[in-house]
Amino acid sequence: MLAAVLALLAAPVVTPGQDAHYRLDNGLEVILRHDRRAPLVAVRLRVHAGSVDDPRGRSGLAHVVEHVAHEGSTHVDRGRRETLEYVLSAHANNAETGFYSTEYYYTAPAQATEHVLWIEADRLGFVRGQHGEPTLAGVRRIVLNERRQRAEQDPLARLEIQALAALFPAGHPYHGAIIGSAEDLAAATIADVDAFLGEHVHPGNATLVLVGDLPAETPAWIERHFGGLPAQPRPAARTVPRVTRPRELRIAAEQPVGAAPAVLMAWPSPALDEDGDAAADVLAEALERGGYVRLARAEGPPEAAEFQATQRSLPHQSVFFVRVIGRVGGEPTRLVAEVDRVLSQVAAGALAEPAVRRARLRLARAHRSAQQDLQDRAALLAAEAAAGKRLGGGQDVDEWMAVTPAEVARFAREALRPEARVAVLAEGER
Amino acid sequence: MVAPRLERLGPSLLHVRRAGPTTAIGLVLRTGAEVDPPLASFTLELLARGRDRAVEDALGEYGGAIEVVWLADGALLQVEVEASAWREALGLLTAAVRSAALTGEDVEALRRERLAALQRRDGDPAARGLHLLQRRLAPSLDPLGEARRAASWSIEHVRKAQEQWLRAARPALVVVGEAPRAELARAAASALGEWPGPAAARTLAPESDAQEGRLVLPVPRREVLVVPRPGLAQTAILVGRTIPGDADALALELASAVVGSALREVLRRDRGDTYSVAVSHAPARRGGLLAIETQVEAAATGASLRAMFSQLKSAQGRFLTGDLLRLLGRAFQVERMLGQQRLSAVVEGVARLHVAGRPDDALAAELRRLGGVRDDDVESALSKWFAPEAMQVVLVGDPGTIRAQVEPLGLGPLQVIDDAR
Repeated sequence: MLAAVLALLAAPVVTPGQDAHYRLDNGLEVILRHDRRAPLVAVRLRVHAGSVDDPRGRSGLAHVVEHVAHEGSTHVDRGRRETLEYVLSAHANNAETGFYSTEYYYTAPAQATEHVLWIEADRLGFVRGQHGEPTLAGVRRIVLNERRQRAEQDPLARLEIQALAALFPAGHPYHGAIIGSAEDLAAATIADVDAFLGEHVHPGNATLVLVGDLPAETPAWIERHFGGLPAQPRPAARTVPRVTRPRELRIAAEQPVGAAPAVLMAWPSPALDEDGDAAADVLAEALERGGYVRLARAEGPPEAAEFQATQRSLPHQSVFFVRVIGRVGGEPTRLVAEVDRVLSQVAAGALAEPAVRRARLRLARAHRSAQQDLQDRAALLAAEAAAGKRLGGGQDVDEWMAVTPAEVARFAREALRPEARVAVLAEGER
Repeated sequence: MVAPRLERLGPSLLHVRRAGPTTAIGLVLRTGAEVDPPLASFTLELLARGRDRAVEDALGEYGGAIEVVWLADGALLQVEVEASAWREALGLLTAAVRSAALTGEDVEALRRERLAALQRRDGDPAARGLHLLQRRLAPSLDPLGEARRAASWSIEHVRKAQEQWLRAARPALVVVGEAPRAELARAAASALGEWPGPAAARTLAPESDAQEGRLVLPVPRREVLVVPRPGLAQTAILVGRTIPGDADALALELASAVVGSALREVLRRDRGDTYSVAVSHAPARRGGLLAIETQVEAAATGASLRAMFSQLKSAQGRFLTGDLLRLLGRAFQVERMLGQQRLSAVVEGVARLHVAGRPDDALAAELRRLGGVRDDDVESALSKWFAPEAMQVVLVGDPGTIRAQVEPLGLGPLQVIDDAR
């Protein structure tokens, strides 16, 4: 299998109208998928750099770079780009920054494909050196407002940031929020932005995905607009140390989340595609869809009014979150005790095959449904390529469908031990 | 441009053919003025889940997870399953609403979840502000309601609400997928055949649309509502008004895009006061809601409001060229296509036009009309629906900051809404 993939990547012979996966000479990885259900094309440029690549003392820099890249590039200043978007009906565009990647994307009418490729090629090759401190100052204000809106105003979002900051020590790439601290954002300079662009934003560190009603000229356009960008070696991957906790850490929330108490727990968990990652997804789904409440009520009315679980799968190390909201007048410590009781039952095998089977089937079906949207399909292909998986979604489904109740129990036993976690406890407002 | 091709296979079955490994099915129920939206949506969620989650479990065997979508003029129960299981899913979905086997324990379990959902909503300043605007201007849009009411519902309340659903107009089924037509029509007829329905049969199209649309009159702003959140770094600003059910929704949508673009330019780009500005229109026959939502730096609350109202004023009589409108219309055509990629989105789109009493070809007709929208339609929508003096204002944030900055603007006396009471 690996040999076949390597052979494909080494042979950039693309037949117009055919699906393809290849690299340009400068290292840009390209994935093309034809889908003619609508006269639209999804274009997604994934740069393999995210908040784990933020330099020390510059948390949030990758995200700031995403915003600066939105302000224009050498040949496509912001005004020109916006005019083109208007004329081409290419309004459906955005960008997002994660721990490991920054993605820029458009979904546009098929006839806009070449212009969108030109815009993205300029963004990949010609943002560095284009902006000064005034641009950065404007970007900083917007990002600080985004931080307030997404990370400060919402008390539940604050619980998560507190948990990540406590679970991963200062200096660890997962410490705190992707959007960065207000202090680091204030300290960032345009030289930091240019240095980040120079090191990380280039064809050798990027994947371009196109899905949709691709014109026959698409491979030639890609070569024309991206092929001339200079080759640079892919930067060395940032070290992301694994953390383990010798004992549980409980911390008080910075503020209540409302009249009822709430608790957010975070455990370090198996990395993306490692043994246990798929079992974690299945467990989260099964517990959310009735599994938790059925196990909790065995000893009386449940303390938790709402239960939510998520495996955030990441390379190197993932994080498993549990969030519970209680009842008015309840105590957060009682919520923690109830979660522990339920998880110890799961670890002992209490989640039986029917509940696990339904969770597997729901995950698989939802995965198939997600591919109805061209941009979601492009995002999935980019993520699969980054993880070295076979393209098309089959591997995730195979992994979920193979999960057994015994594996779910083993995951709970090995990963979700009380001593291995951080718990953020929010009292209800009095 | 491509719109979903809707076929009517019998009086209560709407079908869109889409190839693929899954099928989406929706059961569309109409509401009347007698329905209490929060209790009605709570009841539907209970029915969708079934006794001790039996319906949810049964659909889970086909990869489905049922969802209740509140449509103001009705509600949609929707599920997407593996394509081979459409028959079973259709049967489960329709049987769920008729089932009467719920217990007090089921009510209690969902009540706890509803109260937690209300807490999440009210913890988010923008969601809290939008809810207040909905309660004041368009209560039929509010499916969650308030904690005090949710705490009082019993199994008897739920049974009465279920009876209301069963006695409302005959429901419709919307299926998006590859199920064979004849077999689908038979399955739908069988599933809905003995539906209790109203005492006297009602037609599918509501008879009193225009009349209901005129029920809601624009109300001049009398005060500014303030939900205090001491120490908040940003102020959530919600500005909006009621929109009658017979308004030209398409022109309003384009006008909203014009206003949204202008506000983003001023509040985000020029002033740097905010990260985002959203302008939305939620239609409803008994009164929909036009809402502008943004969260601004607390220190810029007064200046942002002043800039916003100045933009609203200058939008009156804004001259739009034919070229600009053509581009805007085309952008919305593309947006429609993007929004109809997912099967579940098509089900919801069809359900919305059904409860609004619109014809079956409305999706295609709308797409065509977007290509040729007229400037006077949009300009009329701008002057009719964005007049500053009719806009109600809700602010969620630090009360001292708001008082100091907003009182001098002369938008009206501040009325504090105390959540703690």
